Amino acid sequence: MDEHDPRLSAAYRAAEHPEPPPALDAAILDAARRAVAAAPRRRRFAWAAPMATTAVLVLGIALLFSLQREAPETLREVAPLPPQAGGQAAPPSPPAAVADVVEQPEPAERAKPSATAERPQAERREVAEPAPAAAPAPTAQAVASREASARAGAAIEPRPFPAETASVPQPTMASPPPAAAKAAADQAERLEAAAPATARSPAPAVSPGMARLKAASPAAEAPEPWLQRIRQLLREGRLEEARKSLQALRERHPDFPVPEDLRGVLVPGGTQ
Amino acid sequence: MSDHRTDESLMLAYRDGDAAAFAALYGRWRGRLYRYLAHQARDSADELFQDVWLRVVNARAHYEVAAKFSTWLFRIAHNRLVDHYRERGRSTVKFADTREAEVDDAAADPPAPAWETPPAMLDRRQAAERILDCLEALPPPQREVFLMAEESGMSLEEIANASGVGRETAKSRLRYALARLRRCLGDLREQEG
Repeated sequence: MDEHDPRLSAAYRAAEHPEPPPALDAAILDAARRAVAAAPRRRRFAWAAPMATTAVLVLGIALLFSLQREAPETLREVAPLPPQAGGQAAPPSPPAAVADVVEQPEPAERAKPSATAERPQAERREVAEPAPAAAPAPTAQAVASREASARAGAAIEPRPFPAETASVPQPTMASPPPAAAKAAADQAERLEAAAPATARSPAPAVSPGMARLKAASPAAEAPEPWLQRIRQLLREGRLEEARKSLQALRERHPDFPVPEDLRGVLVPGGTQ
Repeated sequence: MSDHRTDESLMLAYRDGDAAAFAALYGRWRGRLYRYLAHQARDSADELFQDVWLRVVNARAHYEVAAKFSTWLFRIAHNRLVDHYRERGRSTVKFADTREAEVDDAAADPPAPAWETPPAMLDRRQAAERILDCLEALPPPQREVFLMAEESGMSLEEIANASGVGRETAKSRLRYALARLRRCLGDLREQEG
């Protein structure tokens, strides 16, 4: 049997049928107009703005996490410093930082800038590391400067591309030029040498001053500029410092392969 | 001025803010949808009609061409009609009960009614005058499928989709509806004899 009967259809079409009243038409059309008038007109690329917003949010959150991850690490980056610590400069750079302050809780400390003036001599002496760069000496002024640099670096500095690092890599944007850094390093050496015996007494592992000093270290830097500084230490004949710095780099970036030219440095007594 | 865009294009344009596209779409379907509703719920036709269109308006933001616009529209109308029946106490059991009527129809499928034969063909005007009464006498499911077929131009598959039944169910309902209508008109013809 057919599902369509032309005669029935014709009869149906010929019948008198009710129609919607004009007022009903008007009400429905008006409602339809008001609905689109209230909503913003959809553009062809209406998805672009939400997508752009989402992308910005994702990038911002990723950057935030990255900074937060790097920030605590600056307080843990420590190469143990022997008391004699070669009297090397205490640069602003993070890698080697301070021996005793590994355990120090960081974020709160990083928030404090100056107060370094009160730091005892012993703490200053144990100031970090031989990383080259423009490091102020472990004086109150130098540490304050380093802290400022650290904050600046942690706040705004993205990880630099390896090609962007200078021959004497600056860990932060606020680092002084190399010449000044060398002078500061020399000054640090003199201070250390002049330190009385009392200064050599071991400082408390978690002294506030050391914590602040640790907090002064800039954010963890990328391996490449760090390696450049290690190579610079080697060129300057500061082998022990280079080794400690390389050890600290490996602790910080355990999955980063040590370049061939530096593998010998890790071996105690190995030379480059 | 007629709009040559498809129903789906008009609805998409309305979704994107073109109120005139809705007006064109409304103009195409207002009569057919109203008749579909009026012949099943005459007293509430205005209310149901407005409800269906407002649902179309409210759904515009998420409209996507997943089916023909007519299928989508009549599905909304079908659902609204079912809700109306439930509100009025006519449960869907009524729809299920029509299966018995359909069985009867199948068992007593009459030959072509006398009014279809050329000499005794019912006057078209008379048929037009009577068919709505015969339509009203149909079981609701059969009436609905007949109205969908007449008003929407949908295929059996689309009718089945819109009314939420299988194709064969829609087919049998339509077949029985036609048979009953023919019988009804034949009976009327015989009565007028």
